[in-house]
Amino acid sequence: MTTIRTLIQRVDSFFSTPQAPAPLGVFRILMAAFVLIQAFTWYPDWEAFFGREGWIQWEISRALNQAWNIHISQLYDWLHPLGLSERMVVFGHFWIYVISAGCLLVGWHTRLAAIFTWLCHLVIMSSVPTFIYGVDIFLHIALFYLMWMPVAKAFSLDLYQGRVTGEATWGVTMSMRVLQLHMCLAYFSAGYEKMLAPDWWNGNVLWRSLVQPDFRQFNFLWLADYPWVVKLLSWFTMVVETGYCIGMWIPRVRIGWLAGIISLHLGIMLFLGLYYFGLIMILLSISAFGYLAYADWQQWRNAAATKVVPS
Amino acid sequence: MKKVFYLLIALHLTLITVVIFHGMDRWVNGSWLEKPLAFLCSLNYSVWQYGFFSPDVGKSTELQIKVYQENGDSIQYSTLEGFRFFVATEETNNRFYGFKVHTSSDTLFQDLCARSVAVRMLNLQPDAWRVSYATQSIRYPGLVGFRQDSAIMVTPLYQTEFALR
Repeated sequence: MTTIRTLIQRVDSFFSTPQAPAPLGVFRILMAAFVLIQAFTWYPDWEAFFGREGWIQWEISRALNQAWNIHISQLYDWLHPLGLSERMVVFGHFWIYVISAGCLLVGWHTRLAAIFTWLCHLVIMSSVPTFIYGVDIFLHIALFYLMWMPVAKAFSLDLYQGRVTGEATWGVTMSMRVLQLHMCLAYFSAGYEKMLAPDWWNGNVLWRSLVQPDFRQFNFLWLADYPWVVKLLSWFTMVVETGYCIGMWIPRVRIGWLAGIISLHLGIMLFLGLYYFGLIMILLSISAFGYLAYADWQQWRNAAATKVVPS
Repeated sequence: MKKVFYLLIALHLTLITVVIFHGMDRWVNGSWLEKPLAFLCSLNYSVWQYGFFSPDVGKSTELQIKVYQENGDSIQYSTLEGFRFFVATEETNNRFYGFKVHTSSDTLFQDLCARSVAVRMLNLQPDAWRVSYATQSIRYPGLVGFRQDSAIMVTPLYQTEFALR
């Protein structure tokens, strides 16, 4: 009975010992900045993706949706009676997305800004379901969390203008834990699924990813003469991803693990050309565990400094 | 209040855990829970498996579009050269990878996509009168196969043509 009570106390302490909200402020700023960068990169092609006569016409992409999804054509149906053209709705959606992400970035009426950004992103996901990939999925998850978490409590205009307080609360800790555990589960799943595929053990998946036209950035055909390099990189990927859920919880080890996961995603960015996917994964890991790694590093530095001070 | 949040978080994280271990696969397809789970997934992707790059990466689906002009000329576009002919950035180009995977999944969808792409091509090029659209599956050799000079296997998947009368 005492053991169970101790366990419950530990779980409660893990999830709700009040902690400072700065990491949540960083999470909000990184994600909002990411939304803005991605949106402006997409802007030149926005109409080609979201217009009625885009790559996939409205009638077709709408037919792929479930009843509850909000397709851009549905926005047009609602706003057309007010005199708005198709083009105005398509670009109006873009600018509302950008403005709400801007408000989220500076933390001005943060909750409302987060809801609007998430809603606009939902319209994106529903309108071009054939064109979404990992980056959009992780961004959608992050935006969902930003609606619920107390992310305005640090580095925000809401705090500066007195709409929220910056005190440490159990809500902050609980939010951070959810983000951290979700990241651990996502990486564990990614690593574990890879381990089930023999082609990951012999390096074939990585090799094909590097040389096939979809992802090819440089000529890596020479790697065929050094298969052990490809195998090592494959195993490194599986270990770093599967072990994320352990490595990130061990003080000091997590500095190395965070560096490992960042280098993995830098590799994905540079050698597979998936710049935004790599970037969002780096930003999410920094949001979830960056402050702990930073604290470890400071502690380690202080300990090193104490050692060299003569007694 | 705290207990309510504990409950919601427990449900949320448990759902993610069960889904990534394939514990709900039979519920996700064809059961009465299919729609509620799909609804939840559209909100926060809690019903999702994150095994990126774990499936069969070595096989790619490539599109070939040929646009015929009135003067007899024709222009060929192929995703083998990257789908960069109408997108402004590398990032939007990356989105066509997902598109190619989706289009290879069923014939009806291929018909719809082909129609959609043909309309766009005809709109972009006023002198065009005919568009052919073909997809092919390409299997690249693995490390050992490449060293033994194994051939790249190309399998035609789908072909159609649209013409203005």
